[in-house]
Amino acid sequence: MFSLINMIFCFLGTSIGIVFGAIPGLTATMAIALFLPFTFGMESVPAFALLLGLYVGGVYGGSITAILINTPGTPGAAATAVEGYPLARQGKALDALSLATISSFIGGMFSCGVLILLAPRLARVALQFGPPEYFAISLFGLSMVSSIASKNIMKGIVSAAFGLLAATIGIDPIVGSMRLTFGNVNLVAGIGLIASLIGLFAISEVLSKLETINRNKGIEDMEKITGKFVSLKILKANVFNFLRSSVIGIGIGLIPAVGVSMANWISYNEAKRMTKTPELYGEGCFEGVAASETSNNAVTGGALVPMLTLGIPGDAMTAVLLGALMIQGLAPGARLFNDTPEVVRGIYGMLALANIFMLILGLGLINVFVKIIKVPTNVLMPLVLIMCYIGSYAIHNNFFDVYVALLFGIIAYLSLKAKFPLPPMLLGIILGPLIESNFRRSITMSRGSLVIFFERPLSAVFIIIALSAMIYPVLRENINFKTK
Amino acid sequence: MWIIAFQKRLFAFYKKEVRIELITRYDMKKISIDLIVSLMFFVFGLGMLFVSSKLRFSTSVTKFAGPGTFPVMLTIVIVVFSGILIVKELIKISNGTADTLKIKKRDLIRILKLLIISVIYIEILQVVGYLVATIGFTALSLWIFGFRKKVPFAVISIIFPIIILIIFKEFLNIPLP
Repeated sequence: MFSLINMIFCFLGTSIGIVFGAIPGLTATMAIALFLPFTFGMESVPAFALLLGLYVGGVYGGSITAILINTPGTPGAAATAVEGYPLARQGKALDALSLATISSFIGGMFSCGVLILLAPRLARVALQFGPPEYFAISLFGLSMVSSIASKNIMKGIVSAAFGLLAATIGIDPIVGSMRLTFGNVNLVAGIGLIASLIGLFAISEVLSKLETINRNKGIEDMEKITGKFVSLKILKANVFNFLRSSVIGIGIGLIPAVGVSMANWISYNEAKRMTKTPELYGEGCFEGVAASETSNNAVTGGALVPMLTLGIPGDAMTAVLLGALMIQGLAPGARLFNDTPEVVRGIYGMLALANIFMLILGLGLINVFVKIIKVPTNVLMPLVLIMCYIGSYAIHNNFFDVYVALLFGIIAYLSLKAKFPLPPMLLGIILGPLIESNFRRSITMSRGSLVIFFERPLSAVFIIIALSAMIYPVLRENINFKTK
Repeated sequence: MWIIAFQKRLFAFYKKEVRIELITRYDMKKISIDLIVSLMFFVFGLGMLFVSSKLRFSTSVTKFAGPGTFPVMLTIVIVVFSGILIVKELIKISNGTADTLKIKKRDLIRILKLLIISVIYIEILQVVGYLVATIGFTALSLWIFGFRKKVPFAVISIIFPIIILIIFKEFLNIPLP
């Protein structure tokens, strides 16, 4: 498992992930989407070495710019900026950065442990699921993502339905007949998953950046890295904080759809509530940095649990990783654990390894990363765009996929402008075939009756939660609207 | 009572709707992007509903849910919800509380330029091959992104396409056009 090639890919992934996470405008999701085509021809374990490295590095990298320029590189590091930037202003940038690195490492390792303990057990439970349960759980995941990703649930629902509909194009998963292909040969195999991912999360971002390119020159006034490595005393004082924030992060990771951007705030607020020195908060407080950074990396392993066992990703990043799993020809769930235990072990190992590399890189090479971050956005974006086009071409050596990516990029760009959330659309595309075939199998089992979804306790619970998560906000919003 | 209120709203809505059209025609800055995107989804949903309603709803294998069932369900969801969003947005516009598109004309032109050269790039790629097309595209897109330093400009436009070529050809064994 820890062969040289895996270690090299993991190292590369982690370093590139840190860069993508650190630069505001490049996101970890984008990094994973961009590098997916590279993994297409690889074996499963090295592919995941690269992608998990990008994931872990990307989540951690946000803290660097959060501390040094007060702009979190990813939304997951927003709370870090509140405490980290004042510390950098006080000349304690290195203290804050090293604490952030160590916290991220602790959170990441804890969550990796939970993944190893919990995932096989949950997978065994999932073994007993039939089509109605799978349909209910997928619908549940989709409804959670739609309701949380957007303020307006209806936009989330439209977005999810659009994704699901896009996934129905091509060969029918059960009967095998052609549908919605409009006579186009390229659509027979359906909309390319990687191409649409690249469009949704990379091309749209490039287009958005084109608007703000002139207003985005803050990187030059970066705080200098001064100070010393964080002292053992501070680390010792934060032991309980590390534990609590890890638990919060892992818990949030386990719930579909909440994700990194919420974990850091919740854990930061908890740390603030529990502290003995509340007056330090906001002025540059080590506890705050530790809480935020521990929890956002603790999400990583937690979010992989439902992704690997049930096929429900916790956030956009794990959704893309789910796509990666499917591209490797692997399906999430009990079969993944039974049929390909070496891949599962590889995922565990590479996640842990990525955390170790993150610690080494974060403590040892922080100056190098800071130099790379200074590369201006207007150089990076064209390069990202080329990688998008070449990457989507390389999947099937097909130019049609490049146009698919471009089209999804434009759709995503417009959707972002109108605040239609993208994660439900992505999840719809990924889960589409699964949801549809399980729905139809269930209906066939019950000879046309929808009651089957409510006869089984587990599926009933998930369907009811899913429906109420979608219907309640719609009702509330519209009733309020009328009474105004 | 509510009927009168509804009539009033409908009247106001009608009056404002005429104005929206004027706004969209003459003032690029005041388009409601929510309305446009909702309309886009609505029209798309309606079109797809029409197409998918012609699919079969029952086959010998799956008697109760054929290839058409799921797409039709989804298009109905899209049409209904984007319809509600459109109506709400129109009411918002008539109340003057709608968000307008915050995009400068110059930025919009840049985005269009980038999209146009992207399409040209994808087409030319198939004719002149990877390296020439990509070097050209890198240079043009760097230009659109406002990067003007001469020496790095040339270096990046030439070196980056070569690096990508080496990674794909040598390391991944994926042929490029």
